[in-house]
Amino acid sequence: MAEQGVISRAEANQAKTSGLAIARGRAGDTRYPAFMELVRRQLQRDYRQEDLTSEGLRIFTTFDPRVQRASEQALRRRAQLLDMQRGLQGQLQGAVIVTDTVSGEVLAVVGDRQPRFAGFNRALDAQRQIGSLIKPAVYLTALEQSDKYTLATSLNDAPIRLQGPEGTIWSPNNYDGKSHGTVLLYSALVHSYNQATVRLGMDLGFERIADTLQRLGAEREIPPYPSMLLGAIGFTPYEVTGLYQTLASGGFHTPLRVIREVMTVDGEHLRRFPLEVEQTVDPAHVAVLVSALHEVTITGTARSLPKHLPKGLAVAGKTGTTNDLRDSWFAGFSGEHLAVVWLGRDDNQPTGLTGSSGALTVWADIMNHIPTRPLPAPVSDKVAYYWIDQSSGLLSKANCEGAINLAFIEGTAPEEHSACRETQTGSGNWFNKLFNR
Amino acid sequence: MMHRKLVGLPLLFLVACSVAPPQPDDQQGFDLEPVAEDQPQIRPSPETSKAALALLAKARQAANEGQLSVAEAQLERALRIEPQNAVLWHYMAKLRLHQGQISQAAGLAAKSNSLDQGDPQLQADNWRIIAHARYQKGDKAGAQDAQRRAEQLLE
Repeated sequence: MAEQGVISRAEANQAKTSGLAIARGRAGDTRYPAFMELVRRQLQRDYRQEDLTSEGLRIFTTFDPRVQRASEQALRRRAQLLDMQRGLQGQLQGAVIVTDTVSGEVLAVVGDRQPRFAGFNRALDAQRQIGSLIKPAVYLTALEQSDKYTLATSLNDAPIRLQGPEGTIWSPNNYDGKSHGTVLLYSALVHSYNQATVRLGMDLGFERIADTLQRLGAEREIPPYPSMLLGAIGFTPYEVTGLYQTLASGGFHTPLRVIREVMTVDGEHLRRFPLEVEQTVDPAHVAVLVSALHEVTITGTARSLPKHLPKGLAVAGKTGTTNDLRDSWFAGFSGEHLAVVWLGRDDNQPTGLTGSSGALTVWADIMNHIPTRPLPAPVSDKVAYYWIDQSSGLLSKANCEGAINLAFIEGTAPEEHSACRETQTGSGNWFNKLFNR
Repeated sequence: MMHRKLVGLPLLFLVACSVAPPQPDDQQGFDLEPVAEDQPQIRPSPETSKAALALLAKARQAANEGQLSVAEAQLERALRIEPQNAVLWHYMAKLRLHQGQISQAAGLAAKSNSLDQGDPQLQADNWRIIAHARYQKGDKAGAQDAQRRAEQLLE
């Protein structure tokens, strides 16, 4: 530096003679308070408080600074912009969690749009209604009965009236205020139709759906009320991440990890927190569901996503919006990263944001700024992909108008062909490119 | 030793022999012949990246020295590089078996099978691990079913 004239010779000499020291912040000071809070909680489960505050442990975490930075910037920028657009006067808050889909390692946690602020950690502690984020669990419960339900099964999206717990009448509407009559099962999920979902859920039964949620990793009790079918149940972003982790890893429940290893100051290995996986859902059924969650990002409620993402990055996800636009969620994954984003107000007042106009934009910014892999092609020999006509649910071809590519458990796909009107552009998507069908 | 017979592989050699890295002097690829085993061994596929193979070599060395948690860390690193590699998940399952974590081994073996694209030997070995875990849990019918699936794959 002295040779380049950046510092003077005297300064260089002084620097050479002074020893190297590690700058120490105050104990507890951190640039990443939300992530560190998660580390602290996992440690507290396994160590006594005095062991943690005295010197003597080296803790190796799963933190990924690049992913953390992308998440913080995406949340800060989008929250600022949306706040301004909707006139929310700085009230819009948010949270982000990003994990590795394979290992369940937590790479980034943001608990406040001001990420250095060590206050309320919304990523871990904001328990908010999850709205349509629950729907994949309802549809997975159906798809697990593959002799009865496939993505091409017809459902009824007609108005429905149900008696609530205190004798009240509950009649959910669709977001667009319309009923869509007979719809295909995939379409009800992809367009997030409430009435079809409630009818399906009532047929399946609360117990089955609660069991699915538990196998996905839910630890809290699931209330047996019809409104639960539309996500009138509070989860934290961290808990939602746990549920979607099981989907992102193909049906294998993988506990989220934030610590890899604990060592003494002398480098002695004290404890490793190893990768754990347990198959809790048949991977073939998850593959079928994920093919529909991918379609969400092509023709469904998240269809604005591809224009924000690098070309060819196949992802799957679900939007979530709660009553009066109080909560805006997006949970989705590529082949490498799962990210869950929540936006809302701490006082639970409406924000004017849907899952797709709010949280999705944060999610897209994150995925756009981290190198990630597209969804892998499922390899199960129990699953096959077919081109299906969107309106009739019958077999179609890649170059027919309105054809979409969906997964079916072998032997359950429709057998009849629909009339085909050939299109110039074709419905090219991820599976098409992979399998050249 | 019911379980050992069922798994059909000497547990002590599981990691040491099966996590076989390419020979350092073999630039063409890896020696696919089993080293000193009469059991067919699962080898990394030719597409496995150099980085993953190097980590496998370290994992094997650590396992040979009895440092199973070091081997575990190396295998996890390899999996981060190639998360869709069924053989790596299989090695991880074997390592867990070696560590005595039988039910974890079964989860990893199932994961390996969910990613495999048609290697009957690999799938059979995974099913044997699952059978082993089911016996341990007292699920005799489930274990027999898993064992049958392993045998059918090798017919």
